[in-house]
Amino acid sequence: MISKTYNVAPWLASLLAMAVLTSVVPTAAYAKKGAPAPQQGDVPSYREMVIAAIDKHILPNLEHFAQKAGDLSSAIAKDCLQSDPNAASEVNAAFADAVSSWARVATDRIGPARKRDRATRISFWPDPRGIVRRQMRGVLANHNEALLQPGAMEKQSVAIQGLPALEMLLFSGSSSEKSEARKYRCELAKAIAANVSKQAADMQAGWLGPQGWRATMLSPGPENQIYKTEADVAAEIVKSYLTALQIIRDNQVLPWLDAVTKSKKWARLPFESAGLSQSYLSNQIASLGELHRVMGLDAYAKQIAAKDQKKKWIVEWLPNAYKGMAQQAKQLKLPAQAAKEKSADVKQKTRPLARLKFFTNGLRQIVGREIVPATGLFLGFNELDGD
Amino acid sequence: MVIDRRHFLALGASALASYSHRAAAASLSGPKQALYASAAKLEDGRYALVVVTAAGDLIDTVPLAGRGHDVTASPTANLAVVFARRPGTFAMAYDLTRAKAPVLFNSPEDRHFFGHGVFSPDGRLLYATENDYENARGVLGIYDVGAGFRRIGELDTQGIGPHDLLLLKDGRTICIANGGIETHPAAGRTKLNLATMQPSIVFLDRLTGDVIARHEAPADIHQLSLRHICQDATGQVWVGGQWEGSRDEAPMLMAHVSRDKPICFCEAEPTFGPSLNGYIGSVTASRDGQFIAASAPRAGTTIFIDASNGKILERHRIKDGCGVAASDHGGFIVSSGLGELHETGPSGKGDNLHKLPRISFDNHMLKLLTTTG
Repeated sequence: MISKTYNVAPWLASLLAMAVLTSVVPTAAYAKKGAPAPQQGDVPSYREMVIAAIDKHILPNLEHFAQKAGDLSSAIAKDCLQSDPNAASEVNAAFADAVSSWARVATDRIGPARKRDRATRISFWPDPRGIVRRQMRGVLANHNEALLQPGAMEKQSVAIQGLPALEMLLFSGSSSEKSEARKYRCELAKAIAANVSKQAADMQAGWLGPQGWRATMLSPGPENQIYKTEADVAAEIVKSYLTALQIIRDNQVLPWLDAVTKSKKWARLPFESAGLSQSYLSNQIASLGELHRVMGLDAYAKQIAAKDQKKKWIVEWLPNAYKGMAQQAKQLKLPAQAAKEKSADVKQKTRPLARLKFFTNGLRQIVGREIVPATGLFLGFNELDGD
Repeated sequence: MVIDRRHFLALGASALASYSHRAAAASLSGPKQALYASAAKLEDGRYALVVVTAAGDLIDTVPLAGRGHDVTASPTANLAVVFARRPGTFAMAYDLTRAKAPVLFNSPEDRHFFGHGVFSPDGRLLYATENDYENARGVLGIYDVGAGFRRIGELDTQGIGPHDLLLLKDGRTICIANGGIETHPAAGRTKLNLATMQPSIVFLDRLTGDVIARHEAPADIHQLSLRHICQDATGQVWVGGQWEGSRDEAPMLMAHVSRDKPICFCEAEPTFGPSLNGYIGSVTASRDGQFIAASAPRAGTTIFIDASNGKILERHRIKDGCGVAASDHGGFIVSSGLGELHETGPSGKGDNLHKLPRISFDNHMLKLLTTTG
């Protein structure tokens, strides 16, 4: 919607000024393994962008998640009757691994993730009205044995099928819980973990094979119901990237910032009860950085810089933004922890979040307004734009 | 032709006596000039309400506090109201004569607008679709126009996520498209209930709040959010849907419904839904109510339907075209995010293109009036 002749506007100047103010060390070593390494002045084709996104980002991350979901299911099947449900254990470690791995998959809202609501089944989040907690309380109170049968979980409310429901079972138990209740909690955890593992496998399978989403994305044309051109496919992936940035900002960074500013103990962050919100966010940032890198978007930044000296700074700003976000995310403390700290300096407490907000805004602006026009792609409405 | 503000004020003072929401032209003598209103994004990133002619003349630009969505116009006064896009909470009443400053008003603290509204036939009340988000319940906020748009009550829309609405020709029944999608401001624009959504078309008595009729989408396509509606010449309501499932499984997106008849989907080849990327952005009827235009901006396509039999007559490629309004020549004006105004329609009912630089039109366009040009 913004023309290519868009002038250097106040938002760009502001980004540049902020980039200088932030203590991010510029690095030339950002492009690591897996990048298409376009030559100077060279840019990847749409097809190259799509193949790299699928084969170097989406599928490896999905494979990793399917494995971690399987590991989690095995760990729970082996040892879900822990003596202390809140103690560190193999199960908790497996849960943390699965959540970290899911964070890298959840940013890709394409094809099989949306089919049969698989992504929602794996993680019913955001949940501003606390539906997972409410429904799980009902399930735990009713001890419905039918839910424990193989395949039964998939037919239940999506809110109780996935990782947030499992989080509640694993991290809100009480050591004084009666053995019957603990046994049911354990069996329910097994059923949910098995369902998460199944959804992950289904999502993975949905990408593969001659009828899979990979094949669909790599064969655009008049006969393809979804994608008519290579540009349609590349646009879908870039749109997914920008949507993920928006969700990270709106549903994680901003509520977190608000909670710390107001000393609230709770911000409804993903996996906040398990203490994994920081790790989740860090992995999402890493995932977006990886997608950006493998698609070769930096090559377009170089092309922009070659054409317009005033925009040369974008070339370094982009990798530094991911690096900066990773650094800031490491410093995050959960709202409950931040609220306990005596320090009255709210600015200091919220600084990492304020910078994350700045970086997510900046990335959306630069990729959306500069890189995308340079690629020649047309995005139009995104997933969240429909109204 | 360039229309300056003075000309516009003259238009307002002399000829804005009669117009109506998505309406037939006012009865005015002489050569006619239609004006259209739309929310828009300007080149510098700011949002505004813009008023344009079909010929692409920019008549007015009124800044907005955030992104706007649809515009509705009073049937009795020179007044239009633009609503914030969800989950926005502002609305702005705009005096078409520019004699009065715009009036800003907000939804209550525990509600936000969904972007659409409609006036009562006497112009005294304004009904707006709103979200009672803590209770995941749709409501129609009722605003007293004469009291500075004070909110005086609300009606339950009997569904989640009410979006577009219209007043039937009886002046009493409001038809509401309950899109079925739950959202909450704490979660931005994320859709929270896609697995369980149940959209519906509800006919509500605006005076009593009684449900006159309620029609749901079939269970197997419960993820088709029924969002945008318009009326044809017979009073039948046409519905445009937004598919929230996988794109390759998108069903037929266009349907018609009335108080006494359930939702009936248009017939087309199975690839129709996927070919439009599962998304209709806006619907409207032609001036004579014989044709329906439905935009599919994600597919860069606008379709035209014969309202008498539901047949899809033509598909036109219009990149990012979303806003649709009746033209004066029996066809339609389609506005786009690229700042274009296409005068088009079935069977060559107009074929003009005008480009407004530095403007991205938003989802909807409202024909305000027809007046002397």
